[in-house]
Amino acid sequence: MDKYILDIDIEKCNACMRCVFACSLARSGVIDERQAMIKIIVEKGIVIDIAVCRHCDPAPCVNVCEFDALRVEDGRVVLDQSRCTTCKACISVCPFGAIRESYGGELVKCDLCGGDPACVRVCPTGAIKYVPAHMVRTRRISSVAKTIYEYLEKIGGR
Amino acid sequence: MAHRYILAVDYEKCTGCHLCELACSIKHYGVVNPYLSRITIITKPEIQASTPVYCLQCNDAMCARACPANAIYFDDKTGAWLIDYNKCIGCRECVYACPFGAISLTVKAEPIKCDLCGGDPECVKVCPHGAIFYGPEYEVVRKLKKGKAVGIVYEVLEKGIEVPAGNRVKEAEEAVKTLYRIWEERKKLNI
Amino acid sequence: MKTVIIGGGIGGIYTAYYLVKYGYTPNDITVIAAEWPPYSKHRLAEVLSEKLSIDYTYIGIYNLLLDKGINVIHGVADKIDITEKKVLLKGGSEIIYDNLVITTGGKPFIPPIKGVNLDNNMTFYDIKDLKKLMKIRGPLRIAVIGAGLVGLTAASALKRIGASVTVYELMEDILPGVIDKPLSSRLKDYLVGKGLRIYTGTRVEEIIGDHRVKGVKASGRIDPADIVVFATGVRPNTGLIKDIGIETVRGVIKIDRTGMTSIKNIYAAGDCALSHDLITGKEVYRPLGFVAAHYARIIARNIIGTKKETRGIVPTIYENIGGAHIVRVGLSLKEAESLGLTPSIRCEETIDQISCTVVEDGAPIGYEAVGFNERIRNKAWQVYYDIHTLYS
Ligand SMILES: Cc1cc2nc3c(=O)[nH]c(=O)nc-3n(C[C@H](O)[C@H](O)[C@H](O)COP(=O)(O)OP(=O)(O)OC[C@H]3O[C@@H](n4cnc5c(N)ncnc54)[C@H](O)[C@@H]3O)c2cc1C
Ligand code: SF4
Ligand code: SF4
Ligand code: SF4
Ligand code: SF4
Repeated sequence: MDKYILDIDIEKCNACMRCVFACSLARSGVIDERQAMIKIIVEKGIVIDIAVCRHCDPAPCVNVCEFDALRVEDGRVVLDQSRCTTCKACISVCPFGAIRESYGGELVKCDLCGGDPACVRVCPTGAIKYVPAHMVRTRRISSVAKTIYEYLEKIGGR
Repeated sequence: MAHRYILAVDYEKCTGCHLCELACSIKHYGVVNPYLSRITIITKPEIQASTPVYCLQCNDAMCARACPANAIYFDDKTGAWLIDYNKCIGCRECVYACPFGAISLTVKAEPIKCDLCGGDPECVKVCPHGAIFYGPEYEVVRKLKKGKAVGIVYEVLEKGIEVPAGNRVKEAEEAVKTLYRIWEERKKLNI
Repeated sequence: MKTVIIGGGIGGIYTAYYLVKYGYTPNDITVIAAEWPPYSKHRLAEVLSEKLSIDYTYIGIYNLLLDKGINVIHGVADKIDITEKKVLLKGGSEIIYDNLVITTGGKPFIPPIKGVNLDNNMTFYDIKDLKKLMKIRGPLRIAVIGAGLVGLTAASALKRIGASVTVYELMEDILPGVIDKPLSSRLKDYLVGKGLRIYTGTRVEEIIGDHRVKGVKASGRIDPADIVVFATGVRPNTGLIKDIGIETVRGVIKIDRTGMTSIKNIYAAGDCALSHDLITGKEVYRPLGFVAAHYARIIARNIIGTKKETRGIVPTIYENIGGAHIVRVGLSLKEAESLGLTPSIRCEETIDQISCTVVEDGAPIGYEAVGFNERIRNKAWQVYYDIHTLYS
């Protein structure tokens, strides 16, 4: 089966925070940044990072969890609150800061909303898309090709 | 190895036949599937151009720099940046980091990039127009530059032939001057 | 085959969990727990600073385990009879075992200085302490003694709920057991900038007061204080096994790589036992939650009969103290030196992050980072992976 992933185009993000609020609403019923599993990191007015889980394979976090709290379901890395003791070992090895502390030390991480991500549904600029993995390059490539054509047109060659 | 090996495509020779894509996917996976090819041709009909997008095996590769698992390493023998799949965690950071969109993902979200076929690139062999070169850097660069210079000469000559009879001598003079300038520049560059 | 687990903390509850998971009959498992339901100490500081309910500290799996049918005795084990293979409980009853797992955890260490017996001296170790601290109202002056992970998280939580906090540390640096000099001095500057008072290189000589705490005398100076919180380390809680012949090293239970003690069919895990370091192969005392759970799993494997030896532990620590991210994977320079290695350290510094790699013989053995902005990006996984491929 095709693996679906969150394809993030950071340049399109204008930090409207809709995904953050949608995530927290979908997962906990309230609008609260700390309950959201996606985080927009802005520095000096520029979005420098969108911290959300990449659903790595093999995932470092799953590898270090001694409590059986992180596991892979259907290609998604999910965190089971009931087994997690908040030892935070997973945070130490996640390269993306994708596991975050919520209230009372409870940890939250993206589970792709079971296959229908709320963040994608609300993003107005298309900065977050939920697509089959092999489609990601198509987007990357077409932006590269665009640059090349612009250049070729400018210098008048073909 | 004394010289770095590189693979390069002559944009002007590429006709957009997509044969290299198929060769690449067959060589690595035994199937015909352009999504599994590490070289991709993008055709833009309006300006009749085909642009091959492929890994340039950068000197200071952004993909390797971005990889949080340190999984991308340089292979001295072939001149390729390779992915160590034992280390790779499939995070796609390299896909986003590469300025050329040269890394693709399989349906299982595993990153794949040009490995120069271990030093014997299939695309080079299959290209019917000789648009893809592989070899020591200096040689490939020379071939590409020569191609370009020859192209300009042709253009000038063509222009010369097209101009109306009365002005032909003057135009020819211009053409020769341009040619001379190109020769001078080539000498300066020592190629 | 009956398995009896003494202690219902992380080590005990996860031994039961893994036993059930690997197919052991739940009904044959008995947990003797002085505290119930099981809770996670890792959440005490967060619950305190967010003023949340105690329920947040409970570990969710206990319900699952009860549903499966494990037996829980809410009580205290008093004695172990290894010839009859039974555990005697306080109150007189006894229980027979085939396999015994000792996970009695630790107890907070309080240094023997004058005045520690006064009222309002306390520790930050368990639910009882949390309940006491949650009652605090108003701007009290609190002295926290010890700037380790527990001391600093407690201090920043107490500061958040409105107390005026002073931290005393005997060593020259904060977090001496976790990170090395260049990182800890940056972290200290940051925390001091955030308004936490920290005195390093300061020995607390006496707790002043009559009946109740009035002040702390440290390095000759006296600071007023209403409450003193000791966060001066953990010692193994092994009074139960004294004189029954289980081998210990300075009070800590010695275990082999299957988690077994020197007596057959008696296992031990967690803060009461030693653990193995993956890099050096040496036995070390690391009172950390994931170490307890690691050995719990190993022990469960061996009890159900699929022999399994641990290769040892690579520490993986993360903590957020007052907005600073602290990451440590593998060995620190200090810990590596104390284990007999001759490491060196390489650091990279930017305005909002400092990260160091500890290197031995050209190979990385540890990574530490302290970051001060919201973005966490680090190379800890690289080092973790390299250590695992190199040393096991
Ligand atoms: C404030 C704080 C923060 C921490 N944060 C972290 C962290 O972020 N990450 C991390 O990895 N570690 C952390 N730790 C360490 C971690 O909590 C311990 O390593 C872990 O709890 C050890 O588990 P254990 O099962 O060995 O002992 P415990 O969890 O202490 O459990 C032992 C249990 O046994 C019971 N018991 C003892 N004797 C008897 C008896 N005779 N009969 C019956 N019951 C008995 C005790 O009452 C206790 O409930 C922290 C510790 C503290 C104090
Ligand atoms: S939490 Fe981090 S390490 Fe785990 S799968 Fe997500 S991105 Fe990877
Ligand atoms: S995919 Fe779902 S869980 Fe993940 S950030 Fe988006 S809304 Fe939140
Ligand atoms: S994949 Fe991209 S960044 Fe990496 S070497 Fe190739 S062209 Fe350069
Ligand atoms: S996908 Fe693999 S190779 Fe690419 S950056 Fe992530 S770990 Fe490195």
